[in-house]
Amino acid sequence: MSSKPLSTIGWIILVIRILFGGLFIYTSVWHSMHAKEFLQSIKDYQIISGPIVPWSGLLFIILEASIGVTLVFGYFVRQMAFVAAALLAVFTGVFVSAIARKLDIACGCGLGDTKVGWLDVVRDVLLMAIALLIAWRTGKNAEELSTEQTAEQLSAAK
Amino acid sequence: MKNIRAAAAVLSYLVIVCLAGYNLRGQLFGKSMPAPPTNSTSAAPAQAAPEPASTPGAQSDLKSQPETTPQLVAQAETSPKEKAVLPTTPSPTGKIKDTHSQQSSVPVAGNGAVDVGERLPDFLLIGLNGNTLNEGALRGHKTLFIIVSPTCPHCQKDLKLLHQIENDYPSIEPVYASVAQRDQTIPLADMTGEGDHLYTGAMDLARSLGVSGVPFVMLIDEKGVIRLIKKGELDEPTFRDILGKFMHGQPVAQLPKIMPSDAALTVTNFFGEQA
Repeated sequence: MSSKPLSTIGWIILVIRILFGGLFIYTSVWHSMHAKEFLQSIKDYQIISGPIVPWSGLLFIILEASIGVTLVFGYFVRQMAFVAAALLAVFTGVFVSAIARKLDIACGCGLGDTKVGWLDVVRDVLLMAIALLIAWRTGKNAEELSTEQTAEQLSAAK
Repeated sequence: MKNIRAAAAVLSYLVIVCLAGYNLRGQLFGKSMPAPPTNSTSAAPAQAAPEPASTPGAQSDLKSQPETTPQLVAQAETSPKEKAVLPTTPSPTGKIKDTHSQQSSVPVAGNGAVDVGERLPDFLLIGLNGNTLNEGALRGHKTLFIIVSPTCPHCQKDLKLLHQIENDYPSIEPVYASVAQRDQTIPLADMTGEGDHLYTGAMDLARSLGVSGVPFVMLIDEKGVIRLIKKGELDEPTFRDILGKFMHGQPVAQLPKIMPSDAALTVTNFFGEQA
């Protein structure tokens, strides 16, 4: 395993990655704790219905948790960053669809459930950009940006 | 260090997934449990003729939405399963017998139907003030829950009337759920002065309950159990009667099937039948 010290950019990306992963962990926990509201939000978008709703809700939570945990702990960073970007792209599409249909519904994001609007779209696009940035900057140096490696760097610095 | 990191990752992941699975178990594997085989209903829904929900000009009211969508058809096909768990025969005495001490034993309305003794399915309404309301928020206090449409003149009359008398019943929380969108509901708030109690986003709930006409009046107790269902416009004596008794925990007597104020509505009965 490489012990090459992290560059400044590397440190910044590491912090962004952990914050980004933490955000996904937070939303997955929030959705788990507010499962009924979350499922109602899914129904409100009127895209899926019936028994598929709770299963898709569980799938979303599992995906969010997977993304969050792997990004925070530094596993499969590049791959999961792409998954995060794809998930955010889906959410963005759903938001745009809801806005186009003039649905008066809550976002269901777990980040201050206000009425879904263009602000949510902008926020998701920004998050998507961050996910792609993480994937891009991680690249072949994924191991360098892992938490473990960071701990080793800290030990070496001491 | 590597093992600790892996263990922490796996543990945190499992905690979240288990938490989600636990909280979603009811929805994933069915949440309605059979009710005790006792007569738990207080009063059957009065079959007063409701105002047709479809009023010209409202794009989002009930009638303008296809009520026989595949989704609703599928729900209707499965409705007997849930409906069968609750006796629908009204109690001859009309007395409330609270046998729902365990919340989990209360059947959940939905699948195109609602009945006394059930609780509302999960919903999320958005108030005109931006606040949100879900089914769980109904617990702990008595609620007058009315599904309304802004373009329905009977809803307008009911809300104007309730605005005048609701202060006489402080322990009953009014919730007026509009099937229309916010922009269409605001005029109703301005007209009736009920902006603080008006919520939007009730279309899905109305569909789920099989509401075919508004106003659709429900009294919901502290446990979230529906104690009375009335369809159509109610007059002041009727509201005062049911709200007064409901507030004091007295049995709410079943009304005659056709209220005086509903008589004219029979002409425009949504189903075209004599209530």
